[in-house]
Amino acid sequence: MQHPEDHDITALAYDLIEGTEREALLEHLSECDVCRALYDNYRDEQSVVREAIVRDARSGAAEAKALENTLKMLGAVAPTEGADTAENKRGRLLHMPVWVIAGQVAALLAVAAGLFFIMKPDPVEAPADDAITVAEIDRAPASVDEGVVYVRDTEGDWKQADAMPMDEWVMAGDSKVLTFTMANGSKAELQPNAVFRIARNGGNGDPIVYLLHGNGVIDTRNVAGEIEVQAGEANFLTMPGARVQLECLGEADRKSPRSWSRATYVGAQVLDGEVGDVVVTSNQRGLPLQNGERVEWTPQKFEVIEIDGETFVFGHTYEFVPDGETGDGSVPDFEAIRKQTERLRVRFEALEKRMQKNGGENNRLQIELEKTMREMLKDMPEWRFTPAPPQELEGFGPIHDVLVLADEAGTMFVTSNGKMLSVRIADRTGAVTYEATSLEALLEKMPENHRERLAELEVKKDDDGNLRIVGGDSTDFEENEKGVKVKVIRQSNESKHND
Amino acid sequence: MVSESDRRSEVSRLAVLHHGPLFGYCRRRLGNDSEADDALQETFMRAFKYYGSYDPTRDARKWLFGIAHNVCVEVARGRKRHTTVAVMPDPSDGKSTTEVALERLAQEENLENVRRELEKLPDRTRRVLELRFFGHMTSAEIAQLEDMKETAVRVTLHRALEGLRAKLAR
Repeated sequence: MQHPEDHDITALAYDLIEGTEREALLEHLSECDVCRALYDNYRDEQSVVREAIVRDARSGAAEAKALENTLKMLGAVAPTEGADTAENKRGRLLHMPVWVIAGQVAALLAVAAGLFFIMKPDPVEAPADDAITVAEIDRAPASVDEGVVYVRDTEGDWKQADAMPMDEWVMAGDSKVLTFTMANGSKAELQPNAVFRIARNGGNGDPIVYLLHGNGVIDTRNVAGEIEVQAGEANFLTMPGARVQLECLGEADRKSPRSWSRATYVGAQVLDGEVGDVVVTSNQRGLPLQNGERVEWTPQKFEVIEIDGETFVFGHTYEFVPDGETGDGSVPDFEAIRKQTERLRVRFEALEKRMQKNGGENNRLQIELEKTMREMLKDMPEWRFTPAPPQELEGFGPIHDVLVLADEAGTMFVTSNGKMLSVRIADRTGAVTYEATSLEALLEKMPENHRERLAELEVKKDDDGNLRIVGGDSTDFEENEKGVKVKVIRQSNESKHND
Repeated sequence: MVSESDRRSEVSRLAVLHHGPLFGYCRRRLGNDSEADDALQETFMRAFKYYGSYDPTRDARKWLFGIAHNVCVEVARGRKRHTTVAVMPDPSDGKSTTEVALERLAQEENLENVRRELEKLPDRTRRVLELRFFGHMTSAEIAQLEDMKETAVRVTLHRALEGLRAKLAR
């Protein structure tokens, strides 16, 4: 077998090669372990090198200013300047008298604001004669490339519009896929009749897509910015370089759509790149998703686990099983997690002190803090997630209490949402959930060997009639800031890591 | 024949679409926001001027990066002394959540080491990497821009990275 040159493998790993040569190299890699290993190493290296080069060169504020200056400049170009030398033009441009710029700024800013929309390619379907005109000031930071959009008129009937309105429900036309480009260059492709709206992030001004119903693709492969997507209970960012396929199903009231949260099922498949900041319901975190991964959400379903004071929340429709399922049968090493978390906490506290010293203004320290938090999250390698089909669970409200048991028989999560008790038992064979409205009924449903593990569990109703877990292996539950009582215990080990 | 107004509109649209990575590339090349701002304006000024020679079937981003690259080379040549391109983040810059999330791609210490070693690479090698990461260019396109043979681009990069690997492995 003839191996490619090392420099060609490097070039491949750095995406410098396209076309048939790339195909041929990839084919070779698929058959050659040696080259494949080399490529994998270079590929890992590439992501670090890319990060080192790109990260600090980007600055949202400076970019925005530079764009504004550029648009002003373009508006200021005199019709005859095409004959000038570049050098002359540069000089004149950069040293243009202030009054010249000032005299044109107002008009140019208006041009800048509307350019994206005014200059867009004509939609494939021309607006109907009676199309609703969306005033320039009311337009969303997105221009339609193909297809048509409908908005509701004062009667609540859908009418074709001549542009995408800002922060208003829009429906994709019923005959064609709607494609549009957002102000940061990201693209979206939504299936006919998809219902959505576009707004701006109050912080950084980036577009946000609220998807109420419909399937589509959000594409941020070729842009530096990200797109925040809210669909159902899901909220996430498609990162630069990402492409995400979305499925959003719900009983959308098309006559009068009210809230994005009415979607009953959301599926997201990462086709390229990475999706970050996944949040399932407000104030709760999830894990970023990598290329090829898929996640599904249904309303108000999530999993909570607290380890050493940190609460981790994951989409409920992901089964949460220990690594034992891979074959080694081990339960998570809580002791190792505790040690690592402790080390990170020391670092975290030191950073917090430095932050306070700086009056809380230092962004780099803020980033350090965030990073430390993420490192804490990364301390969960023993856990893995397997997708599960979405399930409906009537009356499932916020989780009140969580009890986590981890012993040689596997891991068990006991939760109460006030109305219903749920126990999820995970072992090397998979995970199974039992639910009941009383402890007695719950124990009855469970296999005997697992029933014994909950011998010390106590459940009482509080003053509001909610079922609360008040006992287990221990009674010293701690209530976190969300009012969730949590205790992680480890029955099989003498050193309970919360001690 | 594209009218003056259409040309301006189209170039403005391209500016809205592509200013981010172009600015990042210029900033990386020139080392500061101010010159990057000027270079971005100059890039689009030239795009406006030479729009007639642009083939709309080509990737606009790559066309613009070709222009930006030349602008940066000219600006750098015009300096009496070459400014290092070490770019430290401005503490006042607002970092988006994405940037924060990207941080997890590498351990900070490792990233710092990589960054330090990257700064020591020959300028041409760094340009290859920057054109790749900001401009999404292939080795063939970079070779054309840098007036090199395509193989030379790959070999230059590979050797530089080998040196980098050796240093980081110590």
